Amino acid sequence: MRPHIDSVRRFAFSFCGSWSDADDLAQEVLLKAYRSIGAFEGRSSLSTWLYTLARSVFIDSRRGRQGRSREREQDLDDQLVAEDGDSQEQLLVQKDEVERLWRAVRALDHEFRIPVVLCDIEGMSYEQVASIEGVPIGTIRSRLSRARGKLAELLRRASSGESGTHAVETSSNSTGRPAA
Amino acid sequence: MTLILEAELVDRLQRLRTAPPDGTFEDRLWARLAEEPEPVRVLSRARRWRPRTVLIVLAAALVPAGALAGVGYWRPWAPPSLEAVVPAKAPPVETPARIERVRPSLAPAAVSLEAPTIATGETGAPASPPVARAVQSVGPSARGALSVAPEEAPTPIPAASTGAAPPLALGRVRMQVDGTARGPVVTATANAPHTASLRGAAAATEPDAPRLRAAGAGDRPPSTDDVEGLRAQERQQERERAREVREGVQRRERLGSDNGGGR
Repeated sequence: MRPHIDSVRRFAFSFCGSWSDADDLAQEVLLKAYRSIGAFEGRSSLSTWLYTLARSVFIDSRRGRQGRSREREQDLDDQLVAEDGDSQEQLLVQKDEVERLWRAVRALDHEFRIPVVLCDIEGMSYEQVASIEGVPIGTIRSRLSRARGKLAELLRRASSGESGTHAVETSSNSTGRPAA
Repeated sequence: MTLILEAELVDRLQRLRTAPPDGTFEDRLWARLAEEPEPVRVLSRARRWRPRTVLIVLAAALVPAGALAGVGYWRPWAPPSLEAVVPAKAPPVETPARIERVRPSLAPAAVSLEAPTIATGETGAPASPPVARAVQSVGPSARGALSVAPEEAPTPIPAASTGAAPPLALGRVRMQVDGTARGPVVTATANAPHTASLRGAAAATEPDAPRLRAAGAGDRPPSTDDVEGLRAQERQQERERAREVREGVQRRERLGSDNGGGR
């Protein structure tokens, strides 16, 4: 289970606004997996079983954590702005880039977000993601293609004068679809 | 534009796969897991009896059985065949060709017991041509021996009656006298390859000779009274014969004494 800890944490971070919330969520998932490891029948790989469990836990806890995550995001932005210096400025650019990406990912609906996180970020295969989602592979391909288009649109709008955070937040409020 | 952006987007997304800020996550996680009880492995019924499990169980049972059967350790059960229940038949006795050749002559031999009827003509029963031929073939002495009248010939089936037929190479010859309306019929059967002759077989029926003779006198089957009467008649004849012998002896003694007294 140890090789999957970082992946689960990143997967959880796609549902949360901060790493502390993602750690709490990841810990909840791993504890649940430890308790129910006896039910693992070996019909699939351990990572598939673990991500299936994490997915259900994340989706169930998404509503309750959504508002609190926004507050944490604002805290992170304030923290980044408060730092100063050249190296810090470069770091800020990188972190801003990373945060914009994560925000764009979180702005997607979970049916588009999960294929993006598992395929593009974690590098899983379409078959594995289809098994986790419980849908055909073609559906995963279709969702992933559409999710990439939405992400590109979100990032383009975020980089074109508007604040990335505001653009992503606006699109996230409107059912995950990029604003026209 | 979109394809370039998509490729670039995928490259940028892959860069997100970095180690998250470590902090004390793992320490807290292991400390929390240490407090948890040991996970219990629950085997559901669906797990135990899913198709793969069933196949494994069947293979574990059938493969060793098949291997044992292959090396001849045991055989699959089969209903007992009729051969196993019924003992094997003895090999068929090969009947010598002589018997096949001789067998037709048994009919005249059997019919010859009825010859007195034909010879005496008491009952007036017409003789069939084979019977007549058989009677003619045995000759006058045999005819006399077979007839009821001569009391001095106690042998019911003399050798002359079977002289036409060669001695049979029969095994154990069993003579069966069948007292039917047609009269006695003598049949010979061979059960084992022993050497015997029909003559010996005929001798075996000697105690029943009076019955046969009585039966031969008519078409009706011999009764016990007839047999007893014949036996009493024979005893009477024996006594008369003995008396004649005694009288002859006494007569000779008397003549001898008369001759001696005259000297």
